[in-house]
Amino acid sequence: MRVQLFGTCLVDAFFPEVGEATVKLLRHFGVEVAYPPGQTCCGQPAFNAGYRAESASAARHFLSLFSQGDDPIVTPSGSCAAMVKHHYPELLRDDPQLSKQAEAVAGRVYELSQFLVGVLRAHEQDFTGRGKITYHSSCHLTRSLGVRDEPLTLIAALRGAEFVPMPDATRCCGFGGMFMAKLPEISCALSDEKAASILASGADTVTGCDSGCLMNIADGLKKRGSSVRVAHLAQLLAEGL
Amino acid sequence: MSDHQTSLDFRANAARAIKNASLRGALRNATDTFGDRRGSAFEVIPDLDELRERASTIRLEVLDNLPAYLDQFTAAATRAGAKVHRAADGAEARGMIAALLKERGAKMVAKGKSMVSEEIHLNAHLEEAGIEVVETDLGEYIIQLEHETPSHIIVPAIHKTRQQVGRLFADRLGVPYSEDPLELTKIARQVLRDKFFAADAGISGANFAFAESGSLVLFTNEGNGRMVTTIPPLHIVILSVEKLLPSLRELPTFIRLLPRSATGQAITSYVSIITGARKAEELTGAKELHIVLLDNGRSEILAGACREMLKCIRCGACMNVCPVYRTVGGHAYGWTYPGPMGLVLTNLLTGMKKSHPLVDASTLCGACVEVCPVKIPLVELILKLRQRRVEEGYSSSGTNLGMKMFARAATVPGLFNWGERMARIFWPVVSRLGGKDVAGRLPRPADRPFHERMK
Amino acid sequence: MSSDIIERFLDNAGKAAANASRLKSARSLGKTLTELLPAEASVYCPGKSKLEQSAEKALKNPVGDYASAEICIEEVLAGIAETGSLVCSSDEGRAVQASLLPARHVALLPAEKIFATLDDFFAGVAADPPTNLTLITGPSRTADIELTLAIGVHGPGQLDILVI
Repeated sequence: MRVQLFGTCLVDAFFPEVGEATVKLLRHFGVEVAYPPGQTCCGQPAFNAGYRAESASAARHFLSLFSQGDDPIVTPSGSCAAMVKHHYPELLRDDPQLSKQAEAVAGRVYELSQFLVGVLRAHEQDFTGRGKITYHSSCHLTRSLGVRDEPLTLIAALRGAEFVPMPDATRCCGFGGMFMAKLPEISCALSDEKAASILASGADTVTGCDSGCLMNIADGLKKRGSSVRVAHLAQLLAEGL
Repeated sequence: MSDHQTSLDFRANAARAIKNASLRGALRNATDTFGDRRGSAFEVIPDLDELRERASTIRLEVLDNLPAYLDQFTAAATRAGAKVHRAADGAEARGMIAALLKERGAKMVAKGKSMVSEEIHLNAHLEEAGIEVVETDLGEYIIQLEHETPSHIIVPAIHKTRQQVGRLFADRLGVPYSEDPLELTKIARQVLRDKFFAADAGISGANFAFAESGSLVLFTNEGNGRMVTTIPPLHIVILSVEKLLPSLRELPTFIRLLPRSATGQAITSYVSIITGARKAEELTGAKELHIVLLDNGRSEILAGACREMLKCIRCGACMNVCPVYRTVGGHAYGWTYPGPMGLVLTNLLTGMKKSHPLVDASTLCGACVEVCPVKIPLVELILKLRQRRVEEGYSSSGTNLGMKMFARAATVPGLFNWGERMARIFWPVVSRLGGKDVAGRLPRPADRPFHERMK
Repeated sequence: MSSDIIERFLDNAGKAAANASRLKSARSLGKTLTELLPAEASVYCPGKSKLEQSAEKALKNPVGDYASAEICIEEVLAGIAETGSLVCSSDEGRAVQASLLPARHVALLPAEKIFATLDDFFAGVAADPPTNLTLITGPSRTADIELTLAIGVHGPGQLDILVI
């Protein structure tokens, strides 16, 4: 089986190790990973700020890279998967050809944990893990994509690690894309509350499926002087192979 | 006295509110409690999604046929002995209510809770006309004494601690200081009891109006709603035009949804259904009932792309789960309605020119969408407003330029990668320029971006 | 009348902090009231229905003005099992506020007048409701100060329901 990997802009610039872990994981399960070169951004920052034309430009570029064939498109980001799945078709509705492409692409997109559990059944194998892991349930992943159980199923496959739930795991971490730049005081207040939840869980590692959230959470933990490790689920799983 | 309006500098309001530790504690307590109680309360409902879908359908059907339902309501209410007035805007509503009260020689009015009366600053107008207005809902009474505006649509004084209320009553009512809520409630009961009987008129809102029978319904817990609507000889009701339901047969759906969504109660202590004025030989009800149906911008909204906002039944569930509301409270939103429903409705009713900063007051987390009993697509509406903000020219030129550059970079990989390289090389400068509040919270860009590792 | 409906009514009324109980027959009403009510309390009773007239006989200190009475005893129009609610109506010249003003409300509810659901009840009144129809579920309350529950605000602080 072959997939096309969408790295996402945050992974590309700030967290390439998440991309590498994703590739390692997929290859471990016998998946051929195609990485269309020239990737940029799914367009979320512009879309969420109300800039339809600009986000449509990003969408058109995405389609130009990913429209060929019908391999699954996998991405280690719930919010990017949601953007492509839920907003691309509507964003490009005025162009009959592009909107058809968008529909087709939307049908092929998977967030990574969704793909690992739903298609590869990766959780049926054991991974090595250690320490106490808590999980932040990102907003778009949970509410837009409805991916609630898959990450927990994968964490449970990390043998040797103990899952410790945090209070209010599904409460927004305060990242919200442009929100963190427009209303930083609120964003920091929310990431501080999230940090408090993480510390209350007793975990030494916090994981999730969205780099934007994890980045904001890391800032919140740092401000509290915490040494809790922040790692994308892809990294924990790849390390546990 | 005036209902002071905080400016629409939401960010500054928010920053101020965040520093207020007692406010944040009160908000955390309230929103956590209501969130938990709502969850427990809905456990007994076998299919909540189906119930919400039904409520949404009923509300949409009313909105799709609003003029006809309003006419039907007017005819039925009139037949039942009420006088129905249509007010195009706040000024007209205030004017007709003041004129009616003056005509009757009313000096003091006992008032039940009404968000729409806050929306049009009714109290201030009546006070200016020499009519004393006494709020009788405990939370509203507290903020009236304090000369404040409500900070939540269900529990208006949620931002006040018991000590603050105790101090307030001691100072303003001349009673001994107590911070026991039960004691404070008893004091309020005694003070307000006299007011109910002395009032020349009662003014209330209504949760819904029913077209078929011309009825109104009030959901209350304290009993003040029942007092205000039956003790004084004149009862004036003000409600906005979209709060209609076809008939009392639709009421059960909303009895099941509204109290649970608002406070986690299965039902409020009292559900009062009023149909017309007191008839001959009856012993219950105001002798005169006047119903003011207020438009104040609703018709315009109904004709627009954000019309689903008018499904709102004012339960407050959305603000109870909103991470932004929980952090800053209601006053930061600068107007009558806070939280997710507030930031949408405020823009729709007061215009983007004044209120557009509010559209940023959301992380688009979607928690509100999950709890709205009438399935208002709040995230979608916020996105629509953000688009409108750009289209109508209220976004900053800096952001516009930044987005144009983003669009360029997103379509030209070479440019995108060059941007990454520049940010990486000049990170100390970039992060300082971007400020410690924003860029300072980002990590340093990686030495080798992912795409280079995938060559 | 299905005893299941009565049980559900009593259960839900209890959950709303009403003291709800069932009398085997109307004959025990007088004795029940004597035990339930403090002897010196001033009690208002409309005295319109048979049950009310029977209740009146047990009163030691009846008063004619509900606004100054400490207790109101009256027969109510109906009950709703789904919510444990009483229904009071302004029909037949009743003063709905008679149960609002005193500190304690004792409601007499004939068992056969209990509806299973809200829909069942409203189907009957939707087309032509009375001037005032009030659903009463438990005593009055507020949580406006720090969300601390205070029972008994403007309406009664105590609600007793006798299902007969």
